[in-house]
Amino acid sequence: MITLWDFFIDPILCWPTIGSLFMCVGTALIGVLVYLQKRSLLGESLSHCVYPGIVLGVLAYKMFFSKVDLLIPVLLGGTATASLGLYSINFCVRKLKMSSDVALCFVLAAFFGLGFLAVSRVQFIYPKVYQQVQMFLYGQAATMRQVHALIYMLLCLGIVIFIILLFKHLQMIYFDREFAKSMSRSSHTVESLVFIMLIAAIVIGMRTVGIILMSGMLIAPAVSARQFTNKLSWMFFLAALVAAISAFFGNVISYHFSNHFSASFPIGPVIIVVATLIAILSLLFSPKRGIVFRYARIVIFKKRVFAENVLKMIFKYSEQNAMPIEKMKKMVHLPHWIFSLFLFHIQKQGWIKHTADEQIQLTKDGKNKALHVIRKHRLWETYLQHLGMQGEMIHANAEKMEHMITEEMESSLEEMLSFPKKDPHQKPIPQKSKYSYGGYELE
Amino acid sequence: MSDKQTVVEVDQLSVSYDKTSVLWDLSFAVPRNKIVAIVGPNGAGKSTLLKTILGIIKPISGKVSFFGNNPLSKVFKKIAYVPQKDSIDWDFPITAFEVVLMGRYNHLGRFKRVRQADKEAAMQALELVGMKELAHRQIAQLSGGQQQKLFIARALVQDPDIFLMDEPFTGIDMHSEKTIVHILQELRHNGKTIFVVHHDLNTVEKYFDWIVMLNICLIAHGDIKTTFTHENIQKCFGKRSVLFEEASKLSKEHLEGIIK
Repeated sequence: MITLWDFFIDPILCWPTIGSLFMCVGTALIGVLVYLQKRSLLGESLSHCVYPGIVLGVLAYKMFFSKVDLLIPVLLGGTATASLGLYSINFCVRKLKMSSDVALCFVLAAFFGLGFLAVSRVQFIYPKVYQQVQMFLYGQAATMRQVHALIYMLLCLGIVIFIILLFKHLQMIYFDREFAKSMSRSSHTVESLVFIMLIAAIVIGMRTVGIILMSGMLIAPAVSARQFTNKLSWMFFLAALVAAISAFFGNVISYHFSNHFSASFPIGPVIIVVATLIAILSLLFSPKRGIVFRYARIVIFKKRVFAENVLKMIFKYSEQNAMPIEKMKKMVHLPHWIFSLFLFHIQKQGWIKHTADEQIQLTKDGKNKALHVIRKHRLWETYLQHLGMQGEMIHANAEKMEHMITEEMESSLEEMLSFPKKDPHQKPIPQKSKYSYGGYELE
Repeated sequence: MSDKQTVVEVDQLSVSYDKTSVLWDLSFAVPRNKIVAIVGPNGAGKSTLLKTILGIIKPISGKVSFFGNNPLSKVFKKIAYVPQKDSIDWDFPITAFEVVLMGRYNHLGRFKRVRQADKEAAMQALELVGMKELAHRQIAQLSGGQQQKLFIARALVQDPDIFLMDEPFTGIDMHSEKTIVHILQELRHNGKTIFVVHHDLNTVEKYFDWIVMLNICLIAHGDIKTTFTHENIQKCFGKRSVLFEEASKLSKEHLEGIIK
């Protein structure tokens, strides 16, 4: 039985694991920078531009340099065509005035197409070359050796050092480019360095996850990390963590699945699947930005709005701020049992109390809350009239805003309208009580 | 006006984007200790002027010199820039505090870490604009006025002699506007010079004491009382330049062989 630790020490398993770990972390860090530029598609385009370079590299290897490791001519070829691709994209945007999307797609298709054309030619002449090229198309991490792992380690180290040393500058450039330029003369150089790093990361990474899935490794960790933090330093750290987890479990899952189902589960695609899963889970469940919690917050807000409206209804019903339950049930459009549950809930919260004669009465706090909501409603109406608006729309808009206006807005509204006492319909605006702190009263 | 008193001198400055003229042969000098309004219609080149002074945009001819005869490269650490609000990516993972801290980066070497002194300076600047409690909020969670004050705080920690602000009064509440005006007056009191691209003609006389009126060419410049006249406003905001813009566009199209 193989334990998780064996993936770091087993002589066959360890190099693919360690290699893809470094490669994924390095790529993910660069991915954060690409994500911040909002140019995630760039990774996709450039990784496809690598394809013809690989074909050239493999051909050159077969013809001239069969002494050296295959990886070296392939890296050189890939770097060359990726750089050419980047240049072409910029040329299309700046000189030919293409929109950025069009340029990215156009260059992607053109380069990838060229690669395929070349491959289909060599397929018949050198069948072996074809196989080796395909290896880079989908990645082949399982055959990684010590030397590959070393290359990835150096690349990853380079990227980490680059980011740590230039953190302040990178933050400045991607947040506020013009300010960065006004602060430092070398912003342009730093930006160019990032592109060089991007190309290096893509070219080197394709050995593991392959050209087609490369952009997933750039984007998925950055997207996951963004969901959990509002600080750039943490975003780098979390993206690296997500990448490391994906790389490690990608290897583990690939190994076990391949054995268990006796079918091939290549490491590269499995890594991408893990990274994508983490991204999806982050998008769903992150506390601040995740969809699930956002919906939960919407439900809580709606419940509060409903509660405030019910309190208002009771307040307006009678002088004693009390209302028969039966009457209330007729007014609200809710199943009776849900409404009873709701009443029980706001009673627990201290806004209402049941009286002996089947009535609901506001507590002192409940009355204050109702007055506060009415106050915000009438202040808002006064403000809208002040802006020159008229008619039924005013009331409808205030009906929504009364639940949202903050303390801050409330006091600046008052100040701006010079402490109004009456709303546009000549109804009194509840004022802060002089007698009890935090209370309101109608004058 | 002696050279010592001149803070910024613009000499026969022309700027063009993609062969279209944006600024045409501007020459003016601004003395020390002024709050300067840069006024003009949309497309008059107000932001372009700021960015050219900052060296972000290269002019096709002419030059800008500072404090007598110094080029930008000698004094750029003494100039702070407050960008237009729309140019900022508000979703960027950064807190208010970190934005202000950025202003200190020019005091540090490129690879140096941020020091405690920088952090305290940033906190003080935030306190000055009344935003100390909001220091650790992500910038999207600030109101329009707070966002604008944030960038002014960043400029303050740069400790510059010249401030260049692109529309700091756009999209903010009265209270923030008052705070900003108060800060500008304090800065002038301390011998600073502030350039402000401004839109609201109603408040020009109240807030500023010097004015540069632009509409591609320089319409007028000088003391607010003698320069901000009805006649100059007419000249500046009249539609006279529309044909010029059209001609510039035509010339660009011809030179690049574009047919529309």
